[in-house]
Amino acid sequence: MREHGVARRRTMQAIVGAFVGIWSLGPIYWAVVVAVSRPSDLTMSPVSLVPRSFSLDNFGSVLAPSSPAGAAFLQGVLNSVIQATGTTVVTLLIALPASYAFARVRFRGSTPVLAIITATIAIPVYLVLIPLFQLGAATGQLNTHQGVILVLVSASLPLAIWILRSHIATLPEDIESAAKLDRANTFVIVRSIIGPLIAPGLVAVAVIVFLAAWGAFLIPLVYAGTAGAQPLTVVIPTFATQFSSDYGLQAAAGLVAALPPLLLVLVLRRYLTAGLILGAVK
Amino acid sequence: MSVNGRSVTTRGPRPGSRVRGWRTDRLGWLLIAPAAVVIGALVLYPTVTSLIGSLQHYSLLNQDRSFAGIDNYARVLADPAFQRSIATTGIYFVVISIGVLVIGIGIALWLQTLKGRLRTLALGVVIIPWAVPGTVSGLLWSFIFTPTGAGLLNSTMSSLHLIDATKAWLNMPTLGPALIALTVVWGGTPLGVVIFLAALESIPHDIRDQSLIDGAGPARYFWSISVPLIRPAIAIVLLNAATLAIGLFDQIYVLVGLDPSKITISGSMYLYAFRDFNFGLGYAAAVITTVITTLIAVAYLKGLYREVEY
Repeated sequence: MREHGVARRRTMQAIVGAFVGIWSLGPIYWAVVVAVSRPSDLTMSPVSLVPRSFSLDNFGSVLAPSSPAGAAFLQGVLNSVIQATGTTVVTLLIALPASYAFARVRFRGSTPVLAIITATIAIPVYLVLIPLFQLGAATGQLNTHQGVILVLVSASLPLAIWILRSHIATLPEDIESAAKLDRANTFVIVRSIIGPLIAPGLVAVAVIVFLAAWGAFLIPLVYAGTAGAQPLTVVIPTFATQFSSDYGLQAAAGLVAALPPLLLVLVLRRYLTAGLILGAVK
Repeated sequence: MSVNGRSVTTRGPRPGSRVRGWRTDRLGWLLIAPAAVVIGALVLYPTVTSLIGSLQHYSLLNQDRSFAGIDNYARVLADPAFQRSIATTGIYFVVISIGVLVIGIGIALWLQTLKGRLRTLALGVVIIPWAVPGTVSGLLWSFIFTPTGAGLLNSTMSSLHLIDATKAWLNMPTLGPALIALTVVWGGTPLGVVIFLAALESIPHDIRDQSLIDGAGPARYFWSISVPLIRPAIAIVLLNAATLAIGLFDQIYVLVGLDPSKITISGSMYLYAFRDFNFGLGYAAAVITTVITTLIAVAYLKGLYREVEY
């Protein structure tokens, strides 16, 4: 009787697991099928959930600098790498000292300033988009990498400061006192004592900021909409119109564009889940 | 998301705090200066500009920059296109909220039944859609909803003889927005799962053991014990779902373009400003959208988010 119950539970567990797997991976799997199949295979009846043919040609033309699709796509890859990496590095460089100050330095004005910065986490991008566009146009930052990077930094900075500050605040203060007795410079303390100790938090913030920057669409659409600074997220929708019925090519482009964030999440998942919860619940 | 303001830090008057004086102040301001400048210039200044701009006539197509009072707001609220976007946003809101909540809790409960490596592996699979950028996830789902026979939904349905002719699923009045919302549920669920799993795991074991001794079945335990105890997590997840629904743009752009019958209220800001070049109306639409979002957030946090004591 009891064993019967255990077996039934196992079966339920497996059935739910199958649904969870199909739900989570199904759309990605189907895009792989579309990317490797001949176009005529997809319209054949009855439908086949496994590819009827296999070819990597679509990936080849997306990644070939000589093909029209490849040239635009590779430029997009380069732009995405520059903008996402730049945003991550600049955000951390600005957020870490600020977080340390809010957690440790008892300076006048820290409480209201932190409250204001924290409150800006709730300001949505669509509220600030038009002024940012005007600001970018007035200062000649439209269609430049540094323009996009600055705006993306401003979008992720408040959350980064919030998460890093919570991490630093949990460290015991004694840690720095020895260094302070040696009259160590604050920047040395942050770099060589605080930095290594909150490494997991730094990694989590770096991943969250990188993913947000890599996936950002509305900001680069407005800020880098026309010239050569378009990241992948802006290039890909143009593929859908430019190569409108070439689903295989589009699928290959989408899969390659999703690969860097996917690898990042899979490799650094341990840091990420903790960081996500901190960012979402705290 | 910041909910209860700041967490507890021991800060306050200490012996000798007066001696610290201006050196400490200077150090603190020096450390936060870059952050303060960026946030001030690129977040606070644009926010104020939006609020002021919404009270001005401002179109790139004419020279009129006069004070408008509430004129922009009146015009936006009276615009049938904006009213339509409110209704569409409502569909996104309902589908995304229910989807992320139900699927998120369901997957979290399932993960709880798994142990050790199996759970780590399963969580890795579950979190994958979260990493996919919004435009790419719109693209992935487009191969399922393709209006021709090449679309997975059409080919599957006709293979099963459920439909006679291929359908343009995304063009259907209510089903279209609901299917677009489904793609957002796909990308938004992982965060919900992570939050729910953390909340479920933090319920002390003795509460669970006691309720089992008292003879409560799994369903009873879930509704009477788990749900009340994870209420703060539910509030956060619903708040996140509302933000996703109201700010939805990327997936719509890829799946159906800037179709006025599919855009959200935040998308209508984009159309006013960057299609019609009327920044005044764009500002007003953005402010209205922000106010609606804030009201929903306050309602969730007041109604659902309360600190739980075990």
